[in-house]
Amino acid sequence: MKLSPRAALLLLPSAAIFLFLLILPLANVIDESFKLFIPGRIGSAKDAPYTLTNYIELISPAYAKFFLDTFLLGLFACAIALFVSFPIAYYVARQPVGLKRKLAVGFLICMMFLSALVRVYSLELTFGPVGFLKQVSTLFGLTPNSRTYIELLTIAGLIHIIIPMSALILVGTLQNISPRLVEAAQALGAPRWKAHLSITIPLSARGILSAFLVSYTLCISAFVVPLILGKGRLLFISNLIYSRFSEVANYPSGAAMSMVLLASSLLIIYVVTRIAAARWGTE
Amino acid sequence: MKRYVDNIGFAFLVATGVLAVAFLVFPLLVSVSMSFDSRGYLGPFPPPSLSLRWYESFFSDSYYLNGLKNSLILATIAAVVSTTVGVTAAVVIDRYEFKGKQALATLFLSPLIVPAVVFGFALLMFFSLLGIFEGFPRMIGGHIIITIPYTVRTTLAGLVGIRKTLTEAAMSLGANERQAFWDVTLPLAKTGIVTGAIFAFAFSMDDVAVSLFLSDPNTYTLPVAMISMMRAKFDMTISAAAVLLVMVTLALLVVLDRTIGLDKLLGQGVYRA
Amino acid sequence: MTRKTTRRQFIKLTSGGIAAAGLGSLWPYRAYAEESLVVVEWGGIYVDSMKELAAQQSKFDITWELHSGGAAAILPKIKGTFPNAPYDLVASWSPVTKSMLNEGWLEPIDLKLVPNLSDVADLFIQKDDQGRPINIPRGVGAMAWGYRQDNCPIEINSIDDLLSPKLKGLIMFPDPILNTNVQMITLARARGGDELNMEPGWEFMKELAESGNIGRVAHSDAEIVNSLTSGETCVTFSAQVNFQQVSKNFPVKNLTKVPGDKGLKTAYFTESWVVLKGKNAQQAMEFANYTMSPENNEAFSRAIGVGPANSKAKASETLADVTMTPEELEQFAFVPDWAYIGAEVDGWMKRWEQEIVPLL
Repeated sequence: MKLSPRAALLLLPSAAIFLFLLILPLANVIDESFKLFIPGRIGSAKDAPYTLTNYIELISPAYAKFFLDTFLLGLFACAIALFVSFPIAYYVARQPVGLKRKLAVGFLICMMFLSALVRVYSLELTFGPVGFLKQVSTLFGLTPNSRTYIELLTIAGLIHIIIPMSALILVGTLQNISPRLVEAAQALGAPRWKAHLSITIPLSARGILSAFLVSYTLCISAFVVPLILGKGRLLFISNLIYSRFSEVANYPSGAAMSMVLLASSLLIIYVVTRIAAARWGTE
Repeated sequence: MKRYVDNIGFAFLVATGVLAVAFLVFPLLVSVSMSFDSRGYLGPFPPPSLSLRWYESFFSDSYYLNGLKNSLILATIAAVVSTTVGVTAAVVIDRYEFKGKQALATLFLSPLIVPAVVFGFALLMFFSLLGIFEGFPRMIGGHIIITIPYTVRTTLAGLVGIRKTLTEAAMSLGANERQAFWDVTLPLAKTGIVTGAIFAFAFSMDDVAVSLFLSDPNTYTLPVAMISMMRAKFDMTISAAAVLLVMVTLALLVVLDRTIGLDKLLGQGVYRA
Repeated sequence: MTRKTTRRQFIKLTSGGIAAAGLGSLWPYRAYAEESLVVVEWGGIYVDSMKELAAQQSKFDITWELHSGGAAAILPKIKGTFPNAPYDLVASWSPVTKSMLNEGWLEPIDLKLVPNLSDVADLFIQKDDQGRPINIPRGVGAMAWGYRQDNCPIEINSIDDLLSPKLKGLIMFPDPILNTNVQMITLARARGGDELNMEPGWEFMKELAESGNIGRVAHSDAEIVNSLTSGETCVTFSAQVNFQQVSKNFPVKNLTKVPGDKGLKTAYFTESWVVLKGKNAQQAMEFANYTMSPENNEAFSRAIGVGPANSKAKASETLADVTMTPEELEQFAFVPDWAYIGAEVDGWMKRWEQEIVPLL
């Protein structure tokens, strides 16, 4: 249906919110990112000259590596989490009304409310170097001090937060897919796995995309998880930004880094959405 | 042969599911044990003995309780406003075709990409430009903008499966647009809407970075209180607070179950009996 | 239409009512009495001991805001609201007070309002361009290397022991933002440099990073204490405050007075009050003066684990490791140029991110 002016009016509150709470504040940050920072001062002075140094500083292999760490580890975490939460969501969606369903839904919702900080310290105490499950790491042949171990632990932390979230999102999608379709496919001779692969998954494509986008954006902007589980040796971009805003008081550099992060994240999201639309018609 | 592959696949998925649940549960159990840990520091699991001291510490300090009160109020307001505005926006995006629809959808998702630290800083500076120095309005603004993407997204995901023919059928039977919306679309989209509201509430309760920047001496949230106290001494009060929060959630869920029915909370989609 | 939603309507009504009531009770009432102050202090033992002091007087009604991170975490909030900042008195320490001074936020201290300041050694007092004091030192802290004796594989007697292969993953190295990078200054000193010539320190740092001995890089004091108590790491460089926390439960060896090693030295810093310009500046100074009386300063510093700034107050016995005679100070201690290194931190942090983190 075409957009009528009355319907467009419905968009007004959200537009106003986004204008005042997102666009304008970020515009202010962009402005800050071009100002000159003098070490020893707090942020840029009121009349600081405009400069590109804050951005030019970021052109270095080390910073590229930080961006790569953030984006790649986030991708791994999301892929694994989605792969795992899909069956969980399917199970919950298929449960008839009753106790099992209540418990499953209640469990997922409770897991969402566990404070990120406590969650992360618990993971540290479970799988960390002094954790009682640290033998898990030796199963994979890793020493608790190695870089790979830290990366795995960070991914584990991210997954722990994402699984309840994406499971809940997928439940909504999977509930609307009639089970008759899969049954029909099986009646026509397809094995169950093929039926799901060609029916359930494409039909839930939009939900999977939603879950992926929400999870991935969370991973990219993750702060607490890499802070504690990364042991200070694995840094995500938001950790770097935090030290600029809250510790060194170099606000222009923090602003510049935020802008680069935003631009690259928007680009990735745009690309992913376009590919999904082309492949599965999730317009 | 087909049956064989099917069964292996099924067994594999079940194993994955069970492992995943175990993975989710273990740290929860460790958090609970941390909160009853009698040691005055962060030590390896298992704790040598248990004690209620952290819960006592939490309840005896008005600083924490004040933070909890503020957190609950802010989360409620944020959830209500975000859900209302977000659902409206999602419905418009879903029903109508217009240029720039995709861009708008991305815009509504964009606050999630902005790290909370950046939001906190940006909002603090912007509010100062506008001359808003009071903590409470700043916090409401901050919490709304960080929770609204969730409500929009989950509602959109929930609206997907609703065939447009249903609304059109209702309208051809005599309902006007508003009735069709309230009586047909909205109930069917209940899953997405409720999920969004839950997300909004949860993320508002758990938010640290934005609240840190926007709080003032009289208005601060529970996570801010926990982080600030943790700064100079890590005692387990923080884990007691976290476990209490999960308890509160459980209590809320029980209430929801008695009234709406937890199993019906997310709707049932096509499985509606 | 049948009334099918009675339960739902009831819920809506009650929740609406509760929300309204909650909102009403929350709205903070602005009744700032003339004697009410907002003081920014660190959480935990700091604010606890300050609250005790505040409870024993009745002139001022204090609202406490806690530092949510390091001393610099409050700065954006002041910058955003100055000159209407809601804070009157701020607890800070050496490098950050200089930045605040540079921004023009600090009110010079009036000695008539803070007579206790005259009992503080002039060495600790920072001054502005016109020679007026702008801080009220309340504690003298020391930072040095130290380790947990019960689980450390080796005894550490020299700074080069840090490179020992037996310490794989057991060193907790604070990042340049913590302690204003004094830990790397000790590394520089070990190789013949100092804070003005940091190249030897970077060399040492790279060797240390490549050795694989660094288990965790800390961004905050809480992480340091946690890492040591949980047994994740056992050696670190930090302020005595943190080692005291650990030593409550585990034996700790403080490498504060190690003869013959150029690197294992103790650095001193001051924690102080600063007063923000604003209408409550004078009351803030009065309250600060109250906390600085010999008895109060002694109680505070004893609780925290720093040396009292008021020379008439006695230092706690638990600080034996860092309380030094003048000869010991000569031999083992140094005071970095805080103002200088405060400005260097930005560059150091960036260099850390680019050169050291990839090696860890």
